[in-house]
Amino acid sequence: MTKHQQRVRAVFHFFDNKDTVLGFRKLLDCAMDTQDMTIYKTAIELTDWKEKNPEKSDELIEKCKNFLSEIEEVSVKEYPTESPVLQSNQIQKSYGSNRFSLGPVSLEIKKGQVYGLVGENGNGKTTLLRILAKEISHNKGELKYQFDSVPKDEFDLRTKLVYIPQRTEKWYGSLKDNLKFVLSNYGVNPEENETRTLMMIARLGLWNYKHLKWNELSSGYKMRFELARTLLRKPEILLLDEPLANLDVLAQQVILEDLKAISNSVNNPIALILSSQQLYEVEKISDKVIFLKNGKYQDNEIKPETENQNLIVEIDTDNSREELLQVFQTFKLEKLNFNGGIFVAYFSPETEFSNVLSALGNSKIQVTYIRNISTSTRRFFVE
Amino acid sequence: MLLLGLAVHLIFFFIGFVSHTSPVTLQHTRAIDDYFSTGLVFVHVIISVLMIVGWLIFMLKNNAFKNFYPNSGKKLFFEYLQYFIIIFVSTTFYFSYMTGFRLFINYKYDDEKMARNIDVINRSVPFLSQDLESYTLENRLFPKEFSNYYCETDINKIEKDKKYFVYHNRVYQFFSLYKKTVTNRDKRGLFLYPEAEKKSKTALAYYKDSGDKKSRTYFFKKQVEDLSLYIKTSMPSYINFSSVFYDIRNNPSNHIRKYRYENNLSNLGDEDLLKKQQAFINKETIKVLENKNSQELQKLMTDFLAISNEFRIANNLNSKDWSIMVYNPDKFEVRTFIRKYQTKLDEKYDPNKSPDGYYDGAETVAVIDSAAATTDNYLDENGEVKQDTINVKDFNPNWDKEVSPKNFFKNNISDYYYYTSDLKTLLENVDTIKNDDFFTDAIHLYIWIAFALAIFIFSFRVTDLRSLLFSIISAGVIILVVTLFCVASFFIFKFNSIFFVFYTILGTGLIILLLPFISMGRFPKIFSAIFMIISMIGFPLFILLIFGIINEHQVADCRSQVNIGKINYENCKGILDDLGLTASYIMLILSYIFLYFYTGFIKKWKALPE
Repeated sequence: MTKHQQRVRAVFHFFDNKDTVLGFRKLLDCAMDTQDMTIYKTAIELTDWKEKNPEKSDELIEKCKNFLSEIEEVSVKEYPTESPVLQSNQIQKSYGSNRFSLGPVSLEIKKGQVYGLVGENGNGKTTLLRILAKEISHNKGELKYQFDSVPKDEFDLRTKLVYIPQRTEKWYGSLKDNLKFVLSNYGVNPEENETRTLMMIARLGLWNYKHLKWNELSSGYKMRFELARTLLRKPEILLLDEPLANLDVLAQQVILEDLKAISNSVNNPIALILSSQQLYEVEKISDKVIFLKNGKYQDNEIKPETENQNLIVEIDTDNSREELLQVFQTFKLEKLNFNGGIFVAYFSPETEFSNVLSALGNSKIQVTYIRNISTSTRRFFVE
Repeated sequence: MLLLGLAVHLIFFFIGFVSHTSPVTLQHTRAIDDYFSTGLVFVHVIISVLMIVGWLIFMLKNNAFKNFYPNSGKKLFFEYLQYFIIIFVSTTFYFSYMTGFRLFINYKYDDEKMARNIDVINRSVPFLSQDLESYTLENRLFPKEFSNYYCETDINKIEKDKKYFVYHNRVYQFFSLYKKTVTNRDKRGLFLYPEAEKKSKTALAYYKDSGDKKSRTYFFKKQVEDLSLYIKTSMPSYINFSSVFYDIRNNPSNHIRKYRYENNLSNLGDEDLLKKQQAFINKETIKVLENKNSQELQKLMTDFLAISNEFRIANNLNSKDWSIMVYNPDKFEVRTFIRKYQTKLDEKYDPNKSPDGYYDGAETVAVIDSAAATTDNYLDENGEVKQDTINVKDFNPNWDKEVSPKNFFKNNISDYYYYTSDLKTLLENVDTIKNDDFFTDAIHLYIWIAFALAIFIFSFRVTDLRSLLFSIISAGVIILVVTLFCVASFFIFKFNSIFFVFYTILGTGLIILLLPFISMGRFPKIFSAIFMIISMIGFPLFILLIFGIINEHQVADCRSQVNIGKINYENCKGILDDLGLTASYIMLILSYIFLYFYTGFIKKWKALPE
């Protein structure tokens, strides 16, 4: 069974469990992987039908399953993702003497991988993304790109480095026309342009918004539009600066899910680097989380020798420090920090998180929130 | 956008076609400039601005180049070309208007019909006695003796013992002539006067320079000729009228004038030909009169008035009364005069004045009884003989008892009027519009307007507003610095040669052209952008500068040869004189070629990180 078929099978399960929301999005992902215009057209018709008949879920499941069977028949070439598309070696950027300096940063990313870039404001996230997008120059180090086709010149290289800034520019006219404008610049013929555009609109949940203008869209849909516009360009690297800003929690989750799915396409995977303040959400979908503090690089895979493999637990409770200390008397608690309303407890490496949970439960401590942040970059924030 | 532009062109074509349907609209001078004088040009400007702004609003909404969508240098160049074409189409409504205007004139006043009309007009105007001077004896040119002989009117030069003719205080005497042509000049560059005539004090009638100013022909008086056989009266008579009212050759189009100017040809046309035409008019006038058939005269006048009515020339003439006024055999002396314009109640008729609302001085060719208008200098401004010259009484003992020409005119002016100036203006306008090369005259202005606007918009599209504004400021500073440098060099080092200025500008231009290449990647991106924009905008001027330098070298070289007497000063021409406006096309093509290749560099610049 090919990777494509495996994915199609997984989508069948979604529909078997009547999970049509995520299932339909995954169905469209599989349809997109086929790169077959007939499949695209069917997907577009199905989306249109779905939007017009929201109440007919059984019929939708039936139609989706039939369509999935069709998709399964199409052979999809799997894209090899062994070699990195971007390699940065010790890149550094400094703004004058005694001012902010970034790096050295060394990283490499393969297609299909998602990297999260986190850090407090003013620590160089945007700078790093812009350096990787060649928007700004760096002082030292080396940047290497390895695309499917070798860029003809510097401009051609820039066309392949797609960077979406935090504040996107206003656009004019309808959402759909703007998307079609992108493909027309890539020399796509009008018929295929229409099909691909509508497919992208369907995939990014913009079906009912396709005739709206910039000022008629909410921030979330503006971001979706930007993604659609970008994805139509079939980028090999995608650099997103704070795509989750201004989005509500649910929208954040949906967009992250979509990003993960799209970047993980079978035949058109994308190397994705996104910066965000939403640490947990990013960590959830990222293959690697890069933490920048004062321009210095750290990631969640590095285990410095100096750092103990402590169990670090974040606890939000109304109880006092003394009460917590009493609960953890039997544990090898190294320190208990009170950090802006939240306690951060550092236990010895051999401590089990489950034991901590039991102790808190047994002592009837009112826990509002608890999380093991031993491997999360969150630990760098609370230090 | 282009379709909209073409639609507006069609509208302007239509406006041009219908704007002058009434002949009255052609009765003011230079109707060809009506586009500007009627304010239509403002409508044009407003429409152009609206169209360009509207187009820009739409066009600036998307910018594929700035968003790093795939692009080639060629595509970028064609983008510029699109801007150029759209702006050119949106700003050249003048040509459509003029094409419509010309088409209407060619259709309504077709050449064949106009040739017939002009013939009738030229043969009828002699009977429109609106001034006195055209009817005096010295005007006569037919039969050929009158053309060949010289009519002396200077009272001081009359040979009293030979045949002469007297009208009041004026004397006419005819001389046969012989001519001598000289080509040699004296030290001051003036033509030499023939030695033999100088010694023999032979009277000079007049002289004439050749069109190319290479020779001068002196006409000397040979002897007095008696033409009394032909002259029935020395009073003003229709028989003497010899003016060509309208001749297309006297109204050449601008490019003919230019051609004549460039080739040192006289702008007045062939004088001999004109004289022949005048003699022809005289002959025709005499023919009509000597047939002694008032019906034929009336028929001619009826035809003339029909044309006048078609052209809507204001008049109150009718052929019957007019023919009675004129028909006065055998001498056909002028008894009654016709006004050039209608006077208001209590308004005194002044033949030298233009009627109200008319451009003053539009038509003051024939000045009645004003000796100031003649070449004779023995009469004062009132047409009276100056004292201390020769005594008129020697020729006409009773002259002071006779009615003076001025009073004769005043006493005999009728209430009839005919606006001849309007007729002439209309005919001139028709020919001007038919012949004027409005396209060549104006195309360069519009080409360069479109080029400049297109390059500004293009610069803004490929860079940004900040770079564009900085480049404008930088260009101003550079101009200021170069000017100050040249002025300072003049005062400090006494470098006052035009070549020093030229080469300083050339050097600056070369540095500006090279700077974007040198600075790319070494200096901030905006630095390269500033000089990149200045290079694109200033390139046509750079080409012009090179042409200018070559031109100045050629002229300077030529003038150095003038000093040794090989070439005439006026013949020193350089490449710009030879090319004329073709230089403009060459500049445009070279600028296009430059931009075509420069787009590759623009792409490289755009790809630079900040």
